[in-house]
Amino acid sequence: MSVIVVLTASACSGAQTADTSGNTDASNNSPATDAPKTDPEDAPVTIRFATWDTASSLETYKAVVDGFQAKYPNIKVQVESVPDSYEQKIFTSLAAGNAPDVFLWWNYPQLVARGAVEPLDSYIQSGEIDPDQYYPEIFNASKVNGVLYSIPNIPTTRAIFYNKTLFDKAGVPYPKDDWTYDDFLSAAQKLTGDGVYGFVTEAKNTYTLQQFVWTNGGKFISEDGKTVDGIMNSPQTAEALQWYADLVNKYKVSPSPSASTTMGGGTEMFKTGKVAMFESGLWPLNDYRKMSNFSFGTAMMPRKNGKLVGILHTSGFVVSKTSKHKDAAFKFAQYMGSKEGQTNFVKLGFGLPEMPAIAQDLKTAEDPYFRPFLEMIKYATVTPSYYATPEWSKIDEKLVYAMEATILGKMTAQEALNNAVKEINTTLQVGK
Amino acid sequence: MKRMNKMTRQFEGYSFIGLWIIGFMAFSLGPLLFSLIISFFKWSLLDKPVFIGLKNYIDMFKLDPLFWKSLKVTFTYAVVSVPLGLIVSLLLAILLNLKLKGMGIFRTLFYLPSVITGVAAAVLWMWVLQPDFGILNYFLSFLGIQGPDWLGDPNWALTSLIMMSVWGSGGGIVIFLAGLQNIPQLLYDVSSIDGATKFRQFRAITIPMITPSIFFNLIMGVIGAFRTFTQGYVMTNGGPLNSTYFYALYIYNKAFQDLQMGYAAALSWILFIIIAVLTLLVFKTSSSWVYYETERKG
Repeated sequence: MSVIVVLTASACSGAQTADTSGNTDASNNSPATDAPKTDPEDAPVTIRFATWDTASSLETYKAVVDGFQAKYPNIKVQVESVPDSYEQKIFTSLAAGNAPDVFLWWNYPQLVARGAVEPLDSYIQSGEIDPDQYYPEIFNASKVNGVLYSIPNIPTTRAIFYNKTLFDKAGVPYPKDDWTYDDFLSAAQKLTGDGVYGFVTEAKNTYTLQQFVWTNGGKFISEDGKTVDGIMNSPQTAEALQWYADLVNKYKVSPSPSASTTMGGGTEMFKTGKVAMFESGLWPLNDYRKMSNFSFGTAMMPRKNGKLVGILHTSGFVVSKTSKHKDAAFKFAQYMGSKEGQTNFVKLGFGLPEMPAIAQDLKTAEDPYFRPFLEMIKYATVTPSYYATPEWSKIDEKLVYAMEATILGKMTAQEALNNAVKEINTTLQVGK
Repeated sequence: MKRMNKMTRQFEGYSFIGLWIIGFMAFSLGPLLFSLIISFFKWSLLDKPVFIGLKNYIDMFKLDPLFWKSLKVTFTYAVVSVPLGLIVSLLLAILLNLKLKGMGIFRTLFYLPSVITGVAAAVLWMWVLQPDFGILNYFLSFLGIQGPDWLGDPNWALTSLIMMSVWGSGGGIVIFLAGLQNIPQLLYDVSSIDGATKFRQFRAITIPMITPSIFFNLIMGVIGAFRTFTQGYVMTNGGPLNSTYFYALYIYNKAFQDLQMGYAAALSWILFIIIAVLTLLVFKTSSSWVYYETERKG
């Protein structure tokens, strides 16, 4: 019996010590306290860095890390690739107090609320981070409540991929930068038929849905993260969801949710010519480019009444609160997110440049495939809902249900969203 | 022969089971008790646990519609899939017990699905059930039936997963087959002299003689059904409209998506109690319907 008591006690105290050490660091707010002797040039240290990228991209990481080590020979970096259950693994390692010093992350509020990551504002004050070199929309996405928590990593906007062959066959003109919802819908309708769909929707992806909601003047949640009533179920939000669902039910230009899931979703369906247009981040571009006899283009998202709001997928390098070498960790995060580090990642083709300087060097805007994605950055003017509250996952679950119910045609968007709002209020009290 | 010192003998005994005991305490009993303790706390994994007494348990029953929904889904799944699995695997076992040429091949074929791991089987079935060009709807089209959107329709999704569970009942078949082969041929010979029909033999000999196998498969089936996770996680993600939101999936989501470890632990203990009670019920009733040949001698 005694064994057990010791076990549980140590598990609890483990969490406690992690927490208290975090507090001390915050109150000192000086990253140098952990290595009081000096700057990292003198004391050789090893830091750990975790990424969700698969081992196949480790070569790029190695190239970047080599560049870092040439600059800071005394900081050794151990790169850990965790392509599976990344978030769960980071959570548990944070709880156990052996989290990597630096790791890639996207949902900052979730960690910030629990004091698990280091604020980086002091480095802006010290001049080590220059906010002006980044695209402001992207840099701001690394902040929570105005405080910087990460160094941005290759972001992506979402834009339209379209199959030129299918457009030609249906006699539909290619999308222009200022095309409208009406243009989009009539194109989708003309392209649908003969086993081809004009477009493909995602039944559960509320993140993607946001851009249509914002373009329509709606939102999901108040900026302080406290209110959904009157916002999530506002007429503007409901109208946007209804329009999205109508693409499946009324206009029938998109396959049913499960049919598209089995066909591998938009990315695969586009490759096999089963869908003529789909909207996505930059990720599949490389694959499509490598395919021979595949003629496609990319276009900006359509506008409604002259208005367009896009969405960003952002992530960044965060420094763990429990890191024993915070200064070295910061230096590494900074390098990874610097022009030198990022150029390599942008070249890989999985994301956009996060600063105009890289875009200029790599002539990103001259690449016809990249250009619409790059253009979309300045339209990403609204903050994604998950920034508003660390409880977003619970709210989102109800929203997903509403979205699904509407797309399956079980309810109107307005009914579904009214229900969601009602349920969210109770669900937030559970286990609190 | 020298009498061994009592202490030494005890030490020897413990040293044999010692390694196992340590493993059990560290990796089973320890976490088990920890989860019981943490179920009375609010804990996000990343911050300090806060004691909230029975609130997790109370909220579950009072405030959480998903708790009830996932319980309902899991019970429905268990109530249909377990008996159905038992009947199908028993009937198949009887067929596979016939003395025919090439029976080994059939036995292998029916057992094969049990060899495939959960995720692979799940992905395979996603293709079988695909509404537009899945093989199931393709066969149905020959009969003039337009098959449903199996996994995409909230009215069909759970049914689809139950079908899939029956397909994977090969493990049960093997146990029934072993049970059937243990029935002495003598009983059948004697009864046929007395004029018993095939059906009568099945009812009065086969069934009673394999009740221990039924008992075993029933218990394992109930436990397995309540722990179903992979299908919901891989194939449907609990949807559409939560129609396949299994209880185990809900526990996982509460723990690792919403970071409510205490609440997830409380949910797990409720699941444990449900499984324990059901297993106990089956055990209690077993004396009235499970027949062990050996017991008669005593």
